[in-house]
Formats: sequence, structure tokens, C-alpha cells
Amino acid sequence: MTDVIVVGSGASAAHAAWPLVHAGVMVRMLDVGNTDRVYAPLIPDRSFTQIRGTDPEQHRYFLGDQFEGIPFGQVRVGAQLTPPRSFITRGTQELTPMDAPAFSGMESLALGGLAAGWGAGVARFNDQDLASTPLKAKDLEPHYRAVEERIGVCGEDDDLSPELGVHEPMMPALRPDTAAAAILARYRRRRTGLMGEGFRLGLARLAACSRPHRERGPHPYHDLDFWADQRRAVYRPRWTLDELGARPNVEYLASRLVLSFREKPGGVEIAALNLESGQKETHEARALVLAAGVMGTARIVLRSRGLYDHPLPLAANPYCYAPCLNLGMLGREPIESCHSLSQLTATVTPRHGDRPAFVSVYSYRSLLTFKLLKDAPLGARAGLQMFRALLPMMNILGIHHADAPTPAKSITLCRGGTGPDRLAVRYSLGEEQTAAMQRAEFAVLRGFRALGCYCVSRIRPGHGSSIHYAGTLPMSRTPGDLQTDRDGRLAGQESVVIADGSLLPDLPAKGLTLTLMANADRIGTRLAERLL
Amino acid sequence: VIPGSPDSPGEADLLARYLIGRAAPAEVADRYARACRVILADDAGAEERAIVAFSLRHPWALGALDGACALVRPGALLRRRILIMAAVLETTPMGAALFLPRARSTLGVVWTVVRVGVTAVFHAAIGLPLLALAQRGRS
Repeated sequence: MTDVIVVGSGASAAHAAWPLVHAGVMVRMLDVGNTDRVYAPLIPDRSFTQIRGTDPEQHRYFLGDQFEGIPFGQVRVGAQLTPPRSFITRGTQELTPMDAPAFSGMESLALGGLAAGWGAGVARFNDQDLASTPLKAKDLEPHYRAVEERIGVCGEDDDLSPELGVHEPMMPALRPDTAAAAILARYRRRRTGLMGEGFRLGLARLAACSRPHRERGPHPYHDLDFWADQRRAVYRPRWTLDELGARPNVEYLASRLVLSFREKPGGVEIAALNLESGQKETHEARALVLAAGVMGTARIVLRSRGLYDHPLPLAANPYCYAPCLNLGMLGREPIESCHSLSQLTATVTPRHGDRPAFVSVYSYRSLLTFKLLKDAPLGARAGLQMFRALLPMMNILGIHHADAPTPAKSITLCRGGTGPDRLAVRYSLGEEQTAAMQRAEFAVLRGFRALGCYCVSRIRPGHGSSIHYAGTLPMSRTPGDLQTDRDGRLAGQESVVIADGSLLPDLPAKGLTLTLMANADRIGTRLAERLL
Repeated sequence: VIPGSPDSPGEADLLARYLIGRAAPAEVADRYARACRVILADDAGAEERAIVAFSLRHPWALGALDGACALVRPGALLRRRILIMAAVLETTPMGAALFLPRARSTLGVVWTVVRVGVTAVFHAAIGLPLLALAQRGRS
């Protein structure tokens, strides 16, 4: 028997494990742990444009050996996943199937979980964001600081600070590209008026190293962040796992799919499938930390309790993206060396008391031009000429909205017959929420128009495509069945703790990953205190 | 090798010339044929195959047919084949520079938009009746 078993290896699992391991607790991590061994070694440590002109093997990682990077036809991957990132969802259709006709849900069985492809945007939750939880921002404060030091955060203390917090320590922001710098310059000239309308803008705060930090970085500005983790500059949970792996009291077991748990006197017994041998195996521990992601944790809890066909609440940030023409770039030469993460962040608080919207501003280049031709109402040759001319002026706004569970949003575990259990997802938005989102998007686009960015369309890639999920096993001051206390302990269970997004009863629009990590660090710290 | 198959002689060349004005080297043609086999289901209808076959027989019509398909049949087999060739070409050192964004002066941007817009309207005007003709033809 070990002290604690942590299920998963994503953002929550890694940071729940960290304080346990550093407190001297024996930790065993059970994880499927898929990785990319094919494409990552092929990508040279050179810039996007250098590679494009010289590497005859580039088609292998840009298109994939099975052409999975060409996004139509029979081969399907998540729209956000490039071939070198496709390991993130590998195996999920077979091992953790989902029936979700109206929901683009994504799960991961990868080393590092969904955060292996995280866009790295960070934001702290404030008291308003945490209003539905038993927590205050001050409860998370020391854990935010610990996690921010661990992962490395860069950004600026600017107009966004009242909304997103001040990260400590914070490295200088990554250098913006020419298009983002043009938007920011206009904003600085008009900030008083825009802030009066609830519009704030600043450089993106990112979990990335603009200078050397914990043997990572600095960021090389190769514009390859969607394809490779060059110099480990952008944070991935596996960097934390690598650091933990150097400690004697942690054991990482890959190829284990955890199925269920059963409490027994003095601890908990965990049933897992060994994917190498195909055999079921049992692990015992004094405590279990479930951090398999919202969908994965829900499967394990519902299966362990025998609660098939029992709906759990669900929240998922509604998301749309809006390509814009940035007239500030007319006649300007874009810089060559840049990063491909979010360049700028905006928060927009609409009138009518609606919840704020959160906007990430991207430039488009390294995701390749041919993908745009598909959706243009032009012949491919004409489209190519048009996009080559317009791409230096194109910015993509990724607009996230807040969400809360309603009876129309739920997940249910269904028996799979001869195959694995299936997760059924129901998700639809009410009229009131849809209208509030429309108002928020109008406010966002109005603000960007004032900065010279004109939206050419708004694209809704489908419910769930934000890949921000929460609300299934929420924290409560008075936890009922299938809820948790403020320390993540599942009601009715002595030894089972939840440490991932399942705990958040609802979602503000701002990115949740930093808060998941900070809360996991808090829960791991509390558990260590309890065990020692 | 049958007409309207990605292995048919000249198809890769035709599409590469249409997109970037150059013939497809052997490795590009081979990769294109492989990508079509992997990505595209072999269940295209007779109309779809007829459009591809028509464009192979009448290379001058390719731009107009592609422009018309972009408007009224965005999922057409012809268009998918063209987009696959675009993907293959873009990821070669030879083709990459022809797909990378290019900074232009303000006048250059305006001129490109106007020129492309006029060409697109012209192609659509010719392409729509051609498309009707092509899809009734033999594959």
C-alpha cells in the first residue's frame, strides 16, 4: 500500500502531486500517459520560415503521416490539434467513448492531459469568480504564487490587472508581433474612453518563459508553438512531472486506465486496466486523488458508485472566434520572429449586468494557409492570392463566455454492453444566455472596431469546443451527494479527494487552467497535512 | 488508372500548375495520390467524378469550375482534390514560399483584393453554367 494514488498527469494531477511529494508522502501516479514519439523528434530547432524553405520532411509533421493534418474527409482530429499534438486525444474513442452529438467534448489520455496542448493563457480568479464556491481569492493566493513560480508566468502589470490579478513573480511579457503591437498602440491612445465602456486590453499573460527559468526557455520566437515545445519555453505538466520524477517518493505508472475505486478500512482500493498486459490490476492507498479531467473523473466516480444513467451537472465555456482585419497593419511589414500563442488579452464587461467576456487575440500564420482556402467562397487560386495579401493584417479573436450548469447541460454514464462504458453529454443554451452572449460579442467587436479591427465573420465551432469543462462534482459549503467539501473530499467518502475542474460549480469567462493548478496545489497541501 | 482517379496521369501536374504555376515533381504527385487515397472516401457520386473528369479533359475550365464549386458545392470532389494538392504543395520547400503571407503596400493590398474579386466574379459567371454542363457529362 502506498500513501496516495493520484489519477492522471494533467495540470491538476501534477500540481496536486507536487505538495504531497514535497511533504514526504509516498505518491503513485496512475496514468495512460500517451506521448508523441513520431513527430517531435522530426521538428528542427529553427524558425517556422526557415523550416518552410529548407526541410524536405516538413510534410510529415505539418500534414501527418496519415495526412491527419488535412482537416476534412474521413480522418478526424480536434480542430485545434496539429499532427504533433494528436497524441493528446489518441485512444479516447476506444477507451473512453462519448455520445455527444451536440457537444464537441474532448478528453485526453496523454502524458500531461489536455494541458499538453494548452494555449498557456493565465488568469487569477477573484472573489466574484469564486462566488459559487466555498473559497475566497485569499484562500488561493499562496497557491497561485507557488504555482506561478513553478510554471513560469510572463506578462505585464497593466490595465488587465484588476480583472486578471497580478502574478508573482512575473517575467517580462513575450514580445508582441507587429499586428498586436499596432492594436496595443491604438488602445493606449484611446484607453480612457474604452475603459469607460468596460473594455480593457493588455499583453497576454502566459505560462511561458521569456527568460531562463527552471532550466526552461527562453522562448525562441520560432512561431512553432502549435507544433512543438521548443526549449520547453511554454509550460506543460510534464515539465513538473520530470521535476517530481527526480524525487524518491514518487512512482509514475503509465499504461494504466483507472476504472473504479472502493473504500475499505484505512484506505481505498483502485481497479485499473493495464493497457500493456490487458489485465485488470488492483492498487491500494491510504487516499485517492482523482484528477483525470472533468469527464474522466466523472466516469470513475459514477462507475464506482454504480450510478449509471444518473446525470451530473456540467458547465463549459461557450466559445466563438472572429477573424478580423486589422487596418493598423496596412502597408506594414510583419516581424519574422514571433510566437504563435495568444498575443493580447481583452476583458469586456458589457452593460445590463452581464458577466464579462474574455478575449484572446491571435495572429494567423503557422497553422498554414491551405486550411483557410477550404472555407473561402473563392476558387483556391484566387483564395490563395487573397489570403497571402490579407494574412499579415488578420487577427483572430477567441471569445469566451461564462457558463453555469442548467438542467439542459449534463453528463451521464451509460453501460457500454460488450465495450467500455460511454459518457452521454447533453448540452444546450437557453435563450437568455444566448442573448447575453450576443450582447457581449457586440461589445467585444465594438471595442475592437475602435482599435481598427473589423470582424469579417463570427464562427461558432460548437458547444464544448473551448475544452473548458467544470461543475460535475462541485465544491459546496454543505456538500450533498456527488458534491465535495472545500478540500475536495467527495461527500460520503473518507479517502477520496477530487482535484480537477469537476470542483468548480461554474465557470467565469477567463481561462481556468491556472486556477485548476492552484486549487489542486491547495488540495494536495491539505491532504498532506491530513496524512502526516 | 481510371479517369478521375488521383493516380491518373497529368492530374497532379494540372492541379499544381493551377495553384502555383509549376508542374508537380514526382514526389509531390506521389504524395498527392497517397493523400487522396487516405483522406477521400471512394464513394464519390457520378456527378462528382464527371466534374473532375471534365476539368481533366478541359484544363482551361479548372479555375472557373473551382470558383463555381466554392460558391455552390464547397464539398465537391474536385475542390477537395485541389485543396489536398494545396496542402501537399504548401508543405514542400519548393511551394512554401508561394503560400506564406506576403507584406504589401496599402495600394498593393487594395489592388489584390479588387483583382481577385473581379476574377472571382468572372470565374463564377463562366463556372456556374460550365458546372451544370460538366456534372451531366460522362466520368
